Amino acid sequence: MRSRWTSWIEPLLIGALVALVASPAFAAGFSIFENGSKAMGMAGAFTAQADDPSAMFHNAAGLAFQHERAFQVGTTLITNSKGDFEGAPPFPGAGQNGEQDDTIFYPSHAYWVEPIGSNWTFGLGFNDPYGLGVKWKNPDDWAGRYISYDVSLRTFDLNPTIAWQASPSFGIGFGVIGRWSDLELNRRIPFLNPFTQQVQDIGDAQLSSDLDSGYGWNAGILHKATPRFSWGLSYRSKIKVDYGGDGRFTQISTGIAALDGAISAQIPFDQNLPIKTSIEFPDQASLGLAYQVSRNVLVETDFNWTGWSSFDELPIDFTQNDAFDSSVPQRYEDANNYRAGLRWTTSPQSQWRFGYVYDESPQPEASVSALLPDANRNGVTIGYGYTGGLDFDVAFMYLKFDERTRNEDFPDGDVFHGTFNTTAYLLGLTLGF
Amino acid sequence: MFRGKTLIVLMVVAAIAAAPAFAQDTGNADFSRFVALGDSLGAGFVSGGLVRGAQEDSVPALVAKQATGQDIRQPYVEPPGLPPLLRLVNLAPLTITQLPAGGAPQLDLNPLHQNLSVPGYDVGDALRDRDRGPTDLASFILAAPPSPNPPTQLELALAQQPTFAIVWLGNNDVLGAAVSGRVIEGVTLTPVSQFMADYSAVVGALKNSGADLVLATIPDVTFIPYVTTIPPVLVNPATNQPVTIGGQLVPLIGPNGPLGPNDRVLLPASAALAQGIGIPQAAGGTGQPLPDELVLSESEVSAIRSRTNAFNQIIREVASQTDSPVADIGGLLLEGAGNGFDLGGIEFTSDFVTGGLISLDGVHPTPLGYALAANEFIRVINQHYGAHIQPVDLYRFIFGSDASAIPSIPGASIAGFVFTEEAGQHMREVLRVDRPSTAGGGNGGNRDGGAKGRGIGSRLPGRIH
Repeated sequence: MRSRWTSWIEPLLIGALVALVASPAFAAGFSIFENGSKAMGMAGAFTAQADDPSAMFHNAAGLAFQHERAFQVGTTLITNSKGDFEGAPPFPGAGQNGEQDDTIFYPSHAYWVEPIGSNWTFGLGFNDPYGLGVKWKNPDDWAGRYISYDVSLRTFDLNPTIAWQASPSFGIGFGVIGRWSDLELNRRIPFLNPFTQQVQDIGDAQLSSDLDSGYGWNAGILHKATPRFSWGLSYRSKIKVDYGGDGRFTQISTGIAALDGAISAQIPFDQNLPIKTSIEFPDQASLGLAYQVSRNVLVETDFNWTGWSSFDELPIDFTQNDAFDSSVPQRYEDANNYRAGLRWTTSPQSQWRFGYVYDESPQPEASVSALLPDANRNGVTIGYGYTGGLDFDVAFMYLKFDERTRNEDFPDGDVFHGTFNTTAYLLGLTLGF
Repeated sequence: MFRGKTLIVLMVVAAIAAAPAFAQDTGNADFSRFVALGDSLGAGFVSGGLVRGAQEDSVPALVAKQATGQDIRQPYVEPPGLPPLLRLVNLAPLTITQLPAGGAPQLDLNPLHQNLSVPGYDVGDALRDRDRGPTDLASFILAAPPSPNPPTQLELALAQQPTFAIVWLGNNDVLGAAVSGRVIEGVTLTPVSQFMADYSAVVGALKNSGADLVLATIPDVTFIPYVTTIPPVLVNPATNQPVTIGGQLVPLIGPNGPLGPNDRVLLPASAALAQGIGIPQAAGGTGQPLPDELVLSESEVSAIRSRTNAFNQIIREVASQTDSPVADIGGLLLEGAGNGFDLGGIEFTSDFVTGGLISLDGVHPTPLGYALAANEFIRVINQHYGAHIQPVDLYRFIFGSDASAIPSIPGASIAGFVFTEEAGQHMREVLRVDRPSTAGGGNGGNRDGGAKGRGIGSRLPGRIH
């Protein structure tokens, strides 16, 4: 017979293992909003419902109304069906195109709900609310290889939550977030050959961080104002993660032994050089309004705000080799997204869900780049949920990024003009026990 | 028959599809009769000479090509160039020398060149210079039949009834002072009143003829590698680090004693320094001072700067009087000398040899530097004339295609360099700055009006084809 301990730790461990792969940016910026397949079926318009364990992510107050022990574990398969770049002058220029590798990512989630007494509920959540994976094909030719040819960012949140049902219609919730994150950036090192006055690759740079952590909090309220109407408000704080790690340069031959020798005398190849960087993950606030249109149909609209202006630059500090320091200006702006969802209950066991999201990009035109080509997105979703015996929720999202053209630069930034086109498919599956 | 029809349809479609690639929207700017007035910068002068590859990518040629898709008529010089170009032959020590001449220069001339830029021309020359022999550089660029009273650069421009003109003059009105190491009013530095009168006359005449114009600021030449590369203190050529004795930097010796931190040592001084000249005996040198023409004193630097600012103010005033945009080429050099330009993660600066923007003569841009200047011209033309001319694609200037032509390199570190005596003499000739017979001599420069364009021209054979 299993103890209580092993019965909840297992789903969490599975979730953690499944999540140990890079996740791409699939809400604007590098936020991932798909942390539960029920909510995903309604395009994330869930703040005023929050009626499953994923409430820990969508609105902690939703837990206040959950009075039975529950476990959920799930994942969202994400694949780029398209990630193209077409260069424009002055650099890299017409004909300098790029294509992203087709990679499958699976940010994952697990939740445990444990009632304590009649009005209090404890929850422990695990999810991946931020992630980024942009990998370009043909790193030898890719015109953006000195910026990035393969970048990944992973985050893992552990989110203990407590919620209190203050009245039959009003709940509040509060949680503490521990965030573990790492990132890796691969790029090439350019060199101006003084004899030809042309640029060649002389090395490969791999910058990888340790798994470092930061802490924050979240809170929410949920009010079932009338039998038909409810509203919710949810907030997740900024979290700053300071990373340590190593930069490692590997030499690429120019084809001339003497020049290679001159270069290797200047650059410490094949050594681990200590680096530091930091990312301040933004705070997020959501307001949701839900209305029971009929006995079987509920609609919700959500407004989400993300304080993306926290992401101002990505500094890479070589603590013992200042000559290799770099800083890429990002200058993100706060951004909104708008979500609408509908759920149609067809039987006590089954529910169909539909949704639409318009996700505004926080990325100013001048920082659209090989590192992270973002754009406004339109997503449509369909989902299905079944309860009885084994509970499961599935959801599918088609996400179309607006074509994004960069034609301007920061005065202190780089020049990389062209047009990015991205389309993605997301498939979510969450199991409940 | 069906196949034939399909083919024709495809060809028509292809023709329609191809056409817009060349029909750039030039707004209110009419490029149908385009000319350029200027000096070595406009001519596409690179690494101490004129040569076809670089001339084809001269700023006027690039701007016109972007606007119209057409090549302009320019006077071309075949390799090894006129004069033969400088080249880098060794990294350690870094050695720059001149390509062998290889016989008479091969020229490819056209009637009535659109790019009339003559290396060495200052504003007064563009307006007045007629005093040239059949073998002078100005003669073959301006390509007028020999006559007792040949036309000036301005007259040849006006004769083409231009609809649009680039006027990129004024650089040589200050450059001579920097490269000669001597500021001599009226000789190496044009007086402000004269510059104002001449510049207004050139621009006014073009404007009155009905041409639309784009003008350009002049760079502060105290920021070019020719002036900035050698520090005024002793450097260990093996490490490229300053030498200290008893914890103190060792100032080089100039004509008036030890140099101050804001004095400048010119590039050709590397040959003298290699012989120990300018280096104190205590530090292993000869103790002899560097001659005046290899040093720009702090006061000379500030005289050149304030004159540059005065000229740029005049340029902006004349621009506003004639409703013309101004390309800020002076600003480009400052950016190159400051933070540099980041193109897709590659940093380019005005640093000598390693920066990518200034060629081996330490004065003139590389083709990439010129392409960035062309994009600045295009930017202000677009802004002022409501045009949508595409910027020049920089990729080929950065990655090119002749990476195979790399000579073998002995040595193992990029530190120290010799700008050979030959190369130094060559630059003085190109820039028409003679070595003075006596230091500080008032007749040190031979830049008395009309002499420009001769230093190179004297090497020309009589036969021009």
